[in-house]
Amino acid sequence: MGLLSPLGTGREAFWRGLLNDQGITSITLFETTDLMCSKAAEIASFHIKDYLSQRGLKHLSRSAQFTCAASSLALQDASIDLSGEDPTGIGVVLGTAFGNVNSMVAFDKEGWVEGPRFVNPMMFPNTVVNSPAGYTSVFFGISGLNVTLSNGRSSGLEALHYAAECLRRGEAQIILAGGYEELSWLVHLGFIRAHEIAGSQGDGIDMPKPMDRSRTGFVLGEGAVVLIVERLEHAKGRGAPILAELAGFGRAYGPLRPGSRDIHRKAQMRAMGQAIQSSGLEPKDIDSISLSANGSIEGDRLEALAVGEVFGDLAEEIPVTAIKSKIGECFGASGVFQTASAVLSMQHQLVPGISNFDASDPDCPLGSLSAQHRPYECGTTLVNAFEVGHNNASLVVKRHADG
Amino acid sequence: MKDRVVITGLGVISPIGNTTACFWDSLLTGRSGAAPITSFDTTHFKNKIGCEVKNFDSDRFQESRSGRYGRASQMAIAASEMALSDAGLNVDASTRTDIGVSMGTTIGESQAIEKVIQNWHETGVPHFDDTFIFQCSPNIISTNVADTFGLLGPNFMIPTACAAGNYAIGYAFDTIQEGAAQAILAGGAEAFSRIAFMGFCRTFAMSADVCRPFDKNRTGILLGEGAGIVLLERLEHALKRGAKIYAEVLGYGLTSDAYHITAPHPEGDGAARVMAKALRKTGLSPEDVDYINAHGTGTQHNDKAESAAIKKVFGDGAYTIPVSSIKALTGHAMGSASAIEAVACILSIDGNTIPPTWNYEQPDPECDLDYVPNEPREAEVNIVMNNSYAFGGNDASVVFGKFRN
Repeated sequence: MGLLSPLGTGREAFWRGLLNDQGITSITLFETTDLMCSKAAEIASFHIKDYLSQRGLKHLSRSAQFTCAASSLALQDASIDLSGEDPTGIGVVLGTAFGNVNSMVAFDKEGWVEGPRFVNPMMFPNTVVNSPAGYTSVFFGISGLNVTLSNGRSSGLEALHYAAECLRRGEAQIILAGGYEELSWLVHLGFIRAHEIAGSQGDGIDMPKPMDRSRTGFVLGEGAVVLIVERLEHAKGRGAPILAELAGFGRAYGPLRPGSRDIHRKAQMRAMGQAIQSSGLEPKDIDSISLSANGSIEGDRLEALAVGEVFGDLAEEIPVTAIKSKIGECFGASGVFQTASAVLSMQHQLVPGISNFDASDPDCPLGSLSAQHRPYECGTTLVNAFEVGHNNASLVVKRHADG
Repeated sequence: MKDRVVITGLGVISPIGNTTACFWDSLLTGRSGAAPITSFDTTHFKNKIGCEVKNFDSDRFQESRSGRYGRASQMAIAASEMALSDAGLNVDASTRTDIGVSMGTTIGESQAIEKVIQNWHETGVPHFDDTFIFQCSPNIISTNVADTFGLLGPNFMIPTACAAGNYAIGYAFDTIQEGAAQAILAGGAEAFSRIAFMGFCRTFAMSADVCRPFDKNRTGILLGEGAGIVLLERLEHALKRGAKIYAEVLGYGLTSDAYHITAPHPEGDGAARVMAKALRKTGLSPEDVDYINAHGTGTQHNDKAESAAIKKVFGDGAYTIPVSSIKALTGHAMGSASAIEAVACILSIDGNTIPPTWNYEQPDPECDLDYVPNEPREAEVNIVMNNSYAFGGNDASVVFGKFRN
């Protein structure tokens, strides 16, 4: 796993951050004085040279830099020596929602200010959504399949599924699969105007409180997370440390409009049901749930209801966490950060508490919501990445004997 | 035994026609989409010519709650409507969760974002409403298509730039074979983008007047826009409802150049590998291919590299396979290009006719294949390969074949 997150870089810092809750702060990356909401989970200090030594890095967008850094971390963590591998057998599959927005704004604005004949041509590639994946393949010499997916909040889990299917079909031996997002002033303002950011409805609560009675919305997060995904035989064959298994996946689309609650709840139930079923399990076999919940008033409620329907009485007790309370809503990276957190949670046999959770909402009837970390023996985690206006995706992650 | 996947409907909105009939007629008669640009003021640009979609009635596609859909979505919806109608596919409560959408694009609803940026520059403040944020992520396009027709099947947006359409078609193929859908509207959409125009001008990749794929005097692309949709359907499902079957999707390959973020590998390494991969995956030999619909952008780099790649894969056979690029007429429609070209491929199978490479005047010794210059060619077209290469080094080749039961 390669983790570049608002909680820290690398597995240990990420895990410590999940427990110590340092991700969301006042935004320093851009000016927020005139804005209603000024909190986000940002990566305040980042230098690409700490991760890569190649030349030509300065033209990369923040998204591309994050992605290359996380890829480098992942390759190291998996003990992969690229010189010993066939590059055409290594693929890259990444998800993002807003990865190119800042680059588009910067490039087009420069065109207006300086005139089209004087824009910096080196900035042009950053405007296309797939350039971070492209840069990753160029800098690491990885020439297998290379795909970028944009499916909103479920992009990351969709990327993991895409990668798993490609591996099953023998299209690649190793895939760098993950997601990324960079903090964007325009996206932040866009969500404020859509009244989705915590505090954007003027009620003063500007921290995200997933599943809490007084939640007002989410905050944005940024970062990149890359997982090295391989077929079991291949991993064993090269003596790789195996952290976990991608055991099952499910998805179901929920429309943006018209959006009845019923349709969304059913879609979320289908996604979870399919994921559990495709892993050969039943709801009772799931030890914990990593919720998609980010503090959104309606979104959290829909998920709670859907989980309740899928798990029935089990929903009273099954430990759940909502790490977007700590890393914010990282869109394309969210589902994969959640997957990484699930893997670490299963390694440490501890489910992180939900930050800022004070009081439960009667409309979100889940039994085991808590701000406290709970020791728990978990071997399987259900990870949810739900989205209104796109696929709802769920993934079952199983602890591996070595992990 | 994997399910076979066939194509039962086509839809296209392009710079050379807003119906498949008009589009095909243009390809055979040489009607070009090139004209002075009207989407934005080109006064301060060196280049003035592009391939915009004309006479497109966007007022038909109004988003029900908050007004207009973005242009890319409008074209995607129009092409999807055509494909659904062409296929006679019924969408109702019992079928909607089995029908999905898989689309490609380069930069999504670029025009919506460009408008805000222009206004921001002119007034100092960005003006936009509470729905603008939805336009900022490219997946709004596939969402808009699904929501217009009430489709609840798997929904994908694959923004792999100039090869996106092929990637979307490929993943739709996989998804149907995986059993996750019975039918998927697959393709790509792109609106005429000021950002893309500015970028290609600035990187000297753009022609001042005419796009001449494979011609010795080619000077680059003309930017285009549009939407192409092929309706992919599980064979059993298509047969059961007596659908007209245009062709079959036999398979595809994906790979990455890993060479440079924009320039293709000079010897077409990635392009060769992906064509070979597509052949391997479909179990075909080079001799089986009857026509290659080239990426053929009209740049010095691409056309030379692509020709070299074809020779690498097809050997001596490269000199007898017809290769043509329709970008001579349509321009480079970016994320919709390979989807629009897929429609052309299907029509070539259906009509046993190969659309020519128009504007071809001067042969280039480094591009010495049969590019079907300037005249449509009747031929038995059974297997077609659709090539596309993108920024980031994303390569894709999709193989279509005449349907044989």
